[in-house]
Amino acid sequence: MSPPGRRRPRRSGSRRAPARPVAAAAARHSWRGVGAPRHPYAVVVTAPDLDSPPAPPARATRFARLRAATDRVPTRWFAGIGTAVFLAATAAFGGLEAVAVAEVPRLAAGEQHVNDRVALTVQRAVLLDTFPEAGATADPAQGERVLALLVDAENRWDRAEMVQAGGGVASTIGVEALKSTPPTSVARYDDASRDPWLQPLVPVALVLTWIVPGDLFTDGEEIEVVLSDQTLWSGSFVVDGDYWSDPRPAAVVTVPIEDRGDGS
Amino acid sequence: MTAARRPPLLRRIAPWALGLACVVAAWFVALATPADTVAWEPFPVEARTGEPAAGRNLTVTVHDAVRATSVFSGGWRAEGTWVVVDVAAEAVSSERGASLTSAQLIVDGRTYRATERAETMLDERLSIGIARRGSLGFELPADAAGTAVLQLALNPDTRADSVIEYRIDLDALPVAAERELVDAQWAEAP
Repeated sequence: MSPPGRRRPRRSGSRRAPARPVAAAAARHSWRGVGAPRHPYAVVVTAPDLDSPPAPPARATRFARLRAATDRVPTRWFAGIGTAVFLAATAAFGGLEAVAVAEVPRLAAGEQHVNDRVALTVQRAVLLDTFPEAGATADPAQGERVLALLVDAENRWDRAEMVQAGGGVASTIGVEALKSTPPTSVARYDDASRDPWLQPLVPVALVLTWIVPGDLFTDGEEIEVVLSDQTLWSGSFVVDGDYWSDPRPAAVVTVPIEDRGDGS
Repeated sequence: MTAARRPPLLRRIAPWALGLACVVAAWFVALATPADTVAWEPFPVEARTGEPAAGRNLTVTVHDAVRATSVFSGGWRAEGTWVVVDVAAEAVSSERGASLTSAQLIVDGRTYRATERAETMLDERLSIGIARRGSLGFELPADAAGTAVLQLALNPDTRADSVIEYRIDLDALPVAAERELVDAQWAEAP
């Protein structure tokens, strides 16, 4: 805190400033220093230019004419015209009615769904106590069982591709009742090898297994299997190689569940 | 501007002609420029039956190729359309990371991977000086025909690396009813 007594004189000094002679104030603002306003040239420099402007060149008049022409365009109507055109176009395309979503085709067990990546045929859905051969070991003490989906797959891409539980072709197969969670395991049906490779155009019978709560499904119940199509992307710049992404449901297969108990 | 002060016709046309010539020349240069991918394309090494073909860190001798309708290995057996290739391979300069992890057959623009269903030469670790010899099996669609190219490399990422290539005429291959997929074993001769 500075003592108030030291500041007061300064403030009163600044208040006194307008009381100074006008010439001194002008000298303070002039970059030429004290005495400059008294010099006759200084008056000439600071005085407004009273000469009439020279005749505008031909280009300027042409511009002025153009400007005058554009000023006659009724721009205030533009917003209204634009709105009218937008509304007319909207009405022409069906107005603001909700667009009907394309119905996803419904298939029965044994019917094939083909896309650019793979051809899939959901054959059967089987409920088992456990299925360690296919990679899903359920714990009966915790009331777990295994849902096994038998799917025929044929690679339609131009290269061999591994099917893993966590991705690849398996990610395009989802069970609606399981909220399309990825399977526990994927194996071949014929020799039970896990995470098999799909060779192009060579059909393979796959077993996808999920460990599920024992009371979730019952014998004869119909489940919906959602098959998704994907788009092929090619990496560039920082991503290398080709990959499938952007899944969208393309078919719903309804399969009845067979409860096979312990599988015997 | 008066007509007398106009530059001669040649001087007026020259910049346009030169500019046009530059555009045409640039078009030819762009046409002759190799694609970006050329910088890291693999180096193919052509292999012949029974002769060693040497790449950066991989020497391969393709001994035999047959077509079979049934293959087996131990207790495992599979039916289908199979091409079985017997190869011997060894490392050249380093055993570190020297495994035959990339074995593929290109047929009609499609890439088939050597089968992982049986124990074969696929993923086999290689040594310097002593070759490993065994089979590679390829499962193909029933109507596979034409020329196939076998590609062998140490890494699935073959960019700027050498790739041993061996051409196979699928129509001229000897056909066997069944064929064993032989697991890798030490070979006396490469």
